[in-house]
Parts: sequence; C-alpha cells; structure tokens
Amino acid sequence: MRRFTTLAMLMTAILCIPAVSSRPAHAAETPVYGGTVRVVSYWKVRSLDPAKSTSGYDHNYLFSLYDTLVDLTPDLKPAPGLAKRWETPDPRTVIFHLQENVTFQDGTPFNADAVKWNFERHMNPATASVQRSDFVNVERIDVLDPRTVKLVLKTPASQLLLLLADRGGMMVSPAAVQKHGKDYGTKYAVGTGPYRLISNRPDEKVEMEAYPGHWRKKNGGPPFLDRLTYFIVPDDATHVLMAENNQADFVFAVPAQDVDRVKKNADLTLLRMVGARTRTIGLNATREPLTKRKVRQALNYAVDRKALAQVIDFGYAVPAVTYIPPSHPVFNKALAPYPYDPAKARQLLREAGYPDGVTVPIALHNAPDRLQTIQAVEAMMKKAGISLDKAVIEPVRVSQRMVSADYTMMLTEWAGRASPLLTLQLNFTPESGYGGARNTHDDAKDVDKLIKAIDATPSPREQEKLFHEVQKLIADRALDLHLTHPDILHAVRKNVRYTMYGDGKLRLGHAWIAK
Amino acid sequence: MPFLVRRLASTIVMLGIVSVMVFSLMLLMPGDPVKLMLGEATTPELEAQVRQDLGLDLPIHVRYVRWIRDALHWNFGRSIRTQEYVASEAWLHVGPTFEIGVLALGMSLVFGMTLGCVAAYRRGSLWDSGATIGAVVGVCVPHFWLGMLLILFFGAQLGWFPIQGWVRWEESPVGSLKTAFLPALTLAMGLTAETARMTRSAMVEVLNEDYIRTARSKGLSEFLVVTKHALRQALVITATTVGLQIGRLIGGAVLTETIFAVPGLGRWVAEAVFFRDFLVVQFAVVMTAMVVLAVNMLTDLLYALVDPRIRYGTTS
Repeated sequence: MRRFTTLAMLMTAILCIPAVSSRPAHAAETPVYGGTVRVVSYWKVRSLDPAKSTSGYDHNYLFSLYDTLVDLTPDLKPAPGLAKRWETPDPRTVIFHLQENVTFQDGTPFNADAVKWNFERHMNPATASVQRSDFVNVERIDVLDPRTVKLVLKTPASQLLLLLADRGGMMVSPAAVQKHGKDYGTKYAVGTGPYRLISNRPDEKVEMEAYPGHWRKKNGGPPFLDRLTYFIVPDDATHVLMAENNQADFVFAVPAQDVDRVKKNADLTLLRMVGARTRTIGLNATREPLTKRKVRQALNYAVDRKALAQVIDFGYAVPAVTYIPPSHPVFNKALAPYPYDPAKARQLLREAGYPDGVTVPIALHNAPDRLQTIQAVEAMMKKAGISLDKAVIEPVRVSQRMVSADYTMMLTEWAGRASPLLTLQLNFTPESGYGGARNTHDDAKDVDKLIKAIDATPSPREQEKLFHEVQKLIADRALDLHLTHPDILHAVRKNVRYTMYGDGKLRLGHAWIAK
Repeated sequence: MPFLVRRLASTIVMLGIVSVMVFSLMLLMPGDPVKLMLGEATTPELEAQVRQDLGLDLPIHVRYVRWIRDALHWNFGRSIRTQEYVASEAWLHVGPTFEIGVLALGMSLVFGMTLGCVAAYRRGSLWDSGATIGAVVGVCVPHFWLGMLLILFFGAQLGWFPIQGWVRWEESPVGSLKTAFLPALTLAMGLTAETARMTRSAMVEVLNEDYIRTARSKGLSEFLVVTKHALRQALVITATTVGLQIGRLIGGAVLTETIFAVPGLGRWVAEAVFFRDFLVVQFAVVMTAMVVLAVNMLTDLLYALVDPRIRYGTTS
C-alpha cells in the first residue's frame, strides 16, 4: 500500500513538471541564425497599428513588428525594452532612458521625440486610439534630450510599466504613419521590432522577414529567423494535421482533443503552460435572484470545476479562483477554488429564501466548447436545485450585452490583460466600459475601493497585499462564477526553440531553429 | 434588339430593389459595427467620433443616396474592419472563388452529364439506380464533412494536395490548381448530383422522340445518336441548371472556403456579416445579384439562339 502511494506521488510529480516549466530542457544551447517558421492559428488580424488594434490576439503579430518601451520577462515582470532603465524621482514622475542606436525599420531614427509623438498620438482624440484610456492619467511629456523622456502623471499610476509593455508602449514610426495615412495598419506597419512586414493578406497570411538593423542584433542577439509566415486558418481541426505534414511549424492553439496526437508524434513538441484565460460565467448581481450573496455562492458550490477541466479541456485546465491565474506573481496562494458541494448549495439557497430551488437565465454563444460547457454545468447545477434558462446568441451580441451589462448570467471567456489591475478595473468597477453598470451593488463597493487603492499605491509590497485582499473578497462574495483556466498549448516542430510567456501571447523575437 | 433592351431594363430595376433591400436589412439587424470595432475600449466620445468618421450619423436615406452616387463612380466605401476600399478588397477575393467555381462547374458538368446520359440510356437498369443513388448521396452529404474526409485522405494520407492554404494564380498556376482541386471537388459533389438528375430526365424525354428513331434507322452509330442529336437538345435544360448553380456557387463557397482556408468571396462576406461590416455585405449582395441576373440573361439569349421558336416568338 505504501509503495503504491509513493509511486502515485512520484507519477504525479513527474506529470506536474511540464505544467511548471515552460522552457524546453535544451535552454542552455546557443541560438543559431537562419530558418523560417510557419505559424498557424485562426486569429485574423484586426489591425497592425497598435492604436487601432482591438483584438487581444493581434499581439501575436504586433510583438514581431514592434518593440515596447518596457519589456516583460516570461513570468510577466517588467524588464528593459526600448527604455534601458527608468527612475521615479517622485510617485508621479517617471524618467525613461532610451537605448542607443535604434532605428525604425524604414531607416528613421528612434529617439525621445518619437516616444513623445507616439504617446501624443494615443492621447489625441482625432486618432481615435483604442489605447487612449492608458494615457488619461498623463499630464505632460517632456523630452529632456534625444535619449531621455520624462513623463509626469496626474496621480501615481502603479501599473504604468505593465501598460507600456503592451500596445500602449509599442513604438510606431512617425514617418510611416504620416506617409501612409489610412493604409497604415493594414498594408503597412513599421516599428523597431525584430521582423518587418512583407505583406499582409487579410484573413489569409501575414509574411515577415528579419529586420537586420534591429538594435539587439548588433550585439549578436535576435532576430534569429530569416522569415516568419503566419497562416490564418479558420478550422482548427486541421492545424495539427498541417504540422504533422510539414506544412506548418508552430501551432498556436492546439485543440485539447489533439494533444495526444502531438505527444505521440516524434517530430513535434508540446509546449504547455498554465493559461491566463479564464472560462467564466459572469454574474450580474443587480438582477434577481443574484442580488443575494448566498444565491451567488450557491451557484459557485454547484459546479465541479475539476470535472469540467476534464470534460471540456481533456484535463488541460486548472480550476479558477478569480480571473488571476495561479501562475501569476500576484496570485493569492492562500485561496482555493470553491469545492463541489451541491448539498451546501441547496442549503445556501434555502437560507436565501429559495427552498424549492431557483431558475436563472443564462446567455452564451454557439461555439462548440461553450455549448459543451453549458451542458455540463446545467447537469451539475440540477443536482443543487438550480435550473438554467439558456439563450444561445450570436458572438456579436455576447460582447454587446457584456458591455451594456444586459444579462443575468453570461457564459464567456476572459482573455487576460497586460496588467492584473486592468483586469480588475474592467470587471469590477462601476466606471468600466465593460459592463460597469453591474458593479453598482453593495457587495461590489468594497472591491471597488480596494481596486482604487491598488492603483494609488506605488509600493509593490503594499500592492501585493491589496491584490491578495481583493482576490479573497471577490471569491468570498462570489461576484462571478469563475470556472477554469485552460492551459496554453502550443505544438512546435522539435527543432524550433521558443520560450513561452505567462500571458500566452506569441513573442517570436527570440525564437530560433536548431540545426 | 427590343428583347435585349427589355431584359436590360428589368435587370436594372431588379438591382435597384436588391440594393434597397440589402441596405435596410443590414440596418434592421441588431448589432452596432462601431461598438464591435472598438470592443471594451469604447468610450462615448470615441464612439461618436468613429461614427462621424464613417458617416454613420447621417439619416438613412441620405446614406443610401450617397452610396448609390459613389457606387456609380465605382467607390463602394471602405470596409469598417480593414479600412481597405471595398471594391479593391473584393478584387483580391474574387480570384480564388472564381477559380474554384469554374473548376467545380467543369467537374460537375463532365461527371454529371456523363452520369445522366448513362442513366437515361440504360433506363431501369442497375446503371440507372446506381446513378440515382449516387445523386442522392451527393446532395445529402454535408460539405464540411466531405471536405474534411478529402483533406485527410488526399492531403494527409496520400500527400497529393496541400492540406490548407491558397496559392495565387499569379504566383504559380500549377500550385494554384493544386490548392483549388479539393475544394472544387467538394463543391462538385453536390452540383454533379443535380446536373445528373436534370440531364437524365431531359435525355429520357429526348431519347423517346421520333427523330431519334429516325436517326437510328438511318444507320447512325449509337454514340453519334446520343451525343450529337440527343444531348444537344438536353443541353438547354442543363444550361438552365448551370445558370441557377452559379448563384449557389458563390454562396455555397462559404463553408468550403472556411474548411480549406481559401481567402475567397464567401468567407469574406461571412466575416463581414459577423462584424456588421455592412458596406462589404451590400457590395457583395449587389454584385452577386448582378452576376446572377447577367447569367440568367445570357441563358435566355442562349435559348433564343438554340431554339428558333423562342427567337421568332412562335409556339408549336
């Protein structure tokens, strides 16, 4: 008996290793130059202009074309990017010192004026930049010298560095935007990034080639690949097939049912990491019967998250506590997901005044995994006396109804954001453009206060304490019904070397092909 | 001549009706393209500004008139999604759909007419039942399932054709045909069935005519009787069927184009509907209507050429 337990523990430990490490065992090798990588995914390009990009998956293209002012480490901490260092003489001021000898892909120089131009472009109402909200807190931008930019903010902003590691911090060539006008972002995209755009065929493929003048390459660094091709293929059932038949080298999202095929294939490697996405059921606590906290808690106890992970993602998912995944630095390790307890759910419903159970409307769109999820959830909830009144609607309607908070329950997915604070702000504050109207009820008020406190706190240690507190509050008060975090699953040809990032976005700048 | 003029006039009227219908339909559909474009980053000012940029804040009739006026100058506006001019973007997508459509039509005509002839000639035999069953199967098999099967077998197992993607004709005609083959075959399956049935019924009727008996008694070979004399009459019906099929080819392309990742018109328009990119949808519907009307007009002209009774307006 004891031997069996030890063996079981050993096996579990071995099985956990792939989930914990995202770096392949050959991390100590030296990169070599050359080769082409063909990426396949179903994500269409919304825009190659960071100011117009509304899709969280445009990053897969944008990070190849552009560098950001601030870079991220694979575990999502700020690191030097186009700004080699920065200092904060006071909580409202940040001074960025830029890298030397950086040129845009069209030959124009990158300097403090270009940084100022980029920020002002986002702030200018005429641009209609989607990232404008990142800069509402900026009071003034000063160019101290060609290598130094000073940013003065209206109030201390603790998450600024993370935002500048995302689209708001991507540096676009002013000359290119002025030259190409409306065609910028579709036919043309010019940054300082490791790859430059050859062609963008909408919904078909995007071709890029290495930018030989990249500032990192001068010191024997990336880009290592000669060429990058992104295929946009709507039907993900064929992605792995393409990789198996040497028609693609990198499958961005391996469907969970194809993982075993990838594992058995000697020519392909599975890269796996705890994901930043969250499958979730949004709860609108301003509508009956969700106004009562006990009802929302009952809903949370009524779902078996482990079983869901098994059924929907074939085990390649972890139960969720809130939107912040367990792999994130600010995750509150003292918290655990709601356990599956239908008896407790029934009891809570009785206490809330629903001894005979309750019927709640829920909306969702007709993607296969959502339909599967709702079937499983519905069956589970029946055992706790909860019936679901399902409405299957178009994807367009889902996002619109989320934005206007026109739902009681909504099965949806949260893709994650550059900064966890942004995730919290978008989902739990009344001013949020993403359905803020649902956050006006009493239970949300303390959460809102905590979120605002995080924003105003400059000290990282203080912030972490507040992050932990707000996660506990969100979970205890059952503000949403978080289900699981599906794993990030990439399938790559075995000679492709790639480091995964915790936010699941493709950063192919450092990728290379071993001979 | 007056025939042609009348047909042209009615075509223009039909186009006008279609354009009004499609314009109003897109507006009646729930879903706001601006909100879709901006997603959660939307603020009231940003929305108002984008709306003004796109001219969406004007009253409907003004927008319609402007659209007609611009359309006559071949300016169909810019796609909300990609900011490209709709007409030039359409040009990028026409190629693949046209190539696959022509290939599919060709395949279906060859297979369909052969099957139909054989079935009619050997009416009541196993050939006939076999062809009928084949026709029913061809119509009932779902496109996406068939497409996947073809990819698995010819693409993955045999490796004859690429699994996904599209090679443009300008880049490589041979490569282009290779990427077009499987999608065309998928589409052809459904079309063949219909063509076979139509050809069969037409041929059965014709083969019973007196002049066929005459031709036979003259000592002509069976092959000549069937192909030169009988088939020519049946061609009229086949031409009508093809005319109807062309309209469907443009639409039915959506599923096939999605499975085979072909950047054609069908997929482009489907995306536009999801994103409420109504300028694209309007353009596509009006253009499709134009093509269908043009093809029908040509078919009528063909009738008039082939059948003198129509030409001279007499009936026998």
